[in-house]
Amino acid sequence: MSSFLRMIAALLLLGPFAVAAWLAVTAPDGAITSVNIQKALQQGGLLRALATSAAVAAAVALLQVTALAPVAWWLARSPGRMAAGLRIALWAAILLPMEAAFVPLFEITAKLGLYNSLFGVVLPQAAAAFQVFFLESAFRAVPRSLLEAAHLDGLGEAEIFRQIAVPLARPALASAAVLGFLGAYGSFLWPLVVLRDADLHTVPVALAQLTGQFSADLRALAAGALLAVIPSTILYLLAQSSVRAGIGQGAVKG
Amino acid sequence: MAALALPGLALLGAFAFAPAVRVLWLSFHEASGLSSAQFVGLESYLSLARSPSVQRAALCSLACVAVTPALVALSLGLALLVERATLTNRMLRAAYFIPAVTSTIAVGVVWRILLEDDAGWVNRALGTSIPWLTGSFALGSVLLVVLWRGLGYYMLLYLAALARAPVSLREAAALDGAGPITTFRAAIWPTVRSTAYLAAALSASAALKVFDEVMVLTGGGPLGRTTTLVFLAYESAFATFPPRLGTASAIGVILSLLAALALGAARWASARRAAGGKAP
Repeated sequence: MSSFLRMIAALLLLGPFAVAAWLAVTAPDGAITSVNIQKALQQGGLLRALATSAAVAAAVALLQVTALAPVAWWLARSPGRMAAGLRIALWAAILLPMEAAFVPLFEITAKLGLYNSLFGVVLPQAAAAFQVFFLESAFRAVPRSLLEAAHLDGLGEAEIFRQIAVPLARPALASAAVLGFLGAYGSFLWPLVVLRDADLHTVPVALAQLTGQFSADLRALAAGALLAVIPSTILYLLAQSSVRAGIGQGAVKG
Repeated sequence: MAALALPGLALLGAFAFAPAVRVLWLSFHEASGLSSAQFVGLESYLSLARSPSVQRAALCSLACVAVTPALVALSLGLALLVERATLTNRMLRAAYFIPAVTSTIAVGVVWRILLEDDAGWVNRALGTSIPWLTGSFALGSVLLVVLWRGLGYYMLLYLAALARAPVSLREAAALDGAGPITTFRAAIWPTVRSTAYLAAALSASAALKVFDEVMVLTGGGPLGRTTTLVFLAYESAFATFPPRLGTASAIGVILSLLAALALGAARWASARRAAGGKAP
């Protein structure tokens, strides 16, 4: 009974992808073809969009980890009023995410001269408050005795951070980077708002445009969807344990 | 050390903290971005309450939130199906999670291919011509896609909770000859209860922000029947002339208050049960 249910669940959750994959690689007469894939890559501009998205998502993940980890470390180490204030600001930012605050975010990004640029896509997404809390909990798990010993050895705060905290928190940093990458790779509303030129479009924006462009050509559309699905699926399968650890620790969806 | 944290603080300040403050300010002003903003007090909020399109969008977003109980229950069922870490189950877990790791736009396109009116795969397979995306069932289709994509994520959340708890309690219940309902109430629910509340809060606050699926599946139609609050805010700011930034911002603030309410309610429920119920 339960193995039957397991198969039904697999069918329901993977079946739609299988249908799209089948449509993507076949012609209307059922023959195998690469025409749809080529159409999506060239006419649909997905080839360029895939490269753009990979670069954008990698930049977001890298910035989140490198810029936010010191903030998280400082938060984990400082019990003072400043830290409490920062905590409140972070909660406010989590409760007012991009979907709620895209108008002021757009104003600020435009004022900084970042409208219609990939920096304008990357920087606001790198400022992810939930990642600070996630990394803070990882840094809190570093044994106090190690830190005190390092302190007695005469290491400064910055050295303790670099030489002890970061190496010990490496699995959490990897989780944060993978989840940050996947979140940025899939994000749609912000790139849609901040980009004007089609040749800067990320995969989700390009794919959404395809639904209009290829509305009569479901096979090309299916090819586009398939091309968008493959990179994130491969990254997930390669980094499964990082994704599991991140979600299991309650990293909020990016 | 403080110097090391400066770039991150600057990033957060400019792109996370400043927008959060500014959206509040904007929601009390009439602004188009073209001329200077006028203070209008609560007028944006009052006009939201009066506007039929906002009321309809609020109902759409609440319908998305109403998916939460199904999502929380079905993803728990999914987790229990593959709880034992056999090789097959580990592969199935990965498979079940793939929709959750796929971008909402790609998920939307895949489902659009399935549900398209004439050429759609479902209608052709069933030999029907049901307007899944353009008829009265359009909102239902959007909700289905939201549910479908969420299942794997909350399954992983439950699996983490189940892995932290000893299996012995459940096995003892089974050995005692307890039926499935008793086993669930006595051994499973206490283990996953706080995770269920967390899942409910996360999925409710995610449901309030539904935008991508609507954009790809229905474009907000037919006749605004699938226009959610975020979709309406986007339209107010970028597809209306002159832009109604105050309206878009007020919608954003309302959404955040609702999300905070969902998180608070889950915390309260979780704490209340933990205090009142007996420890397992």
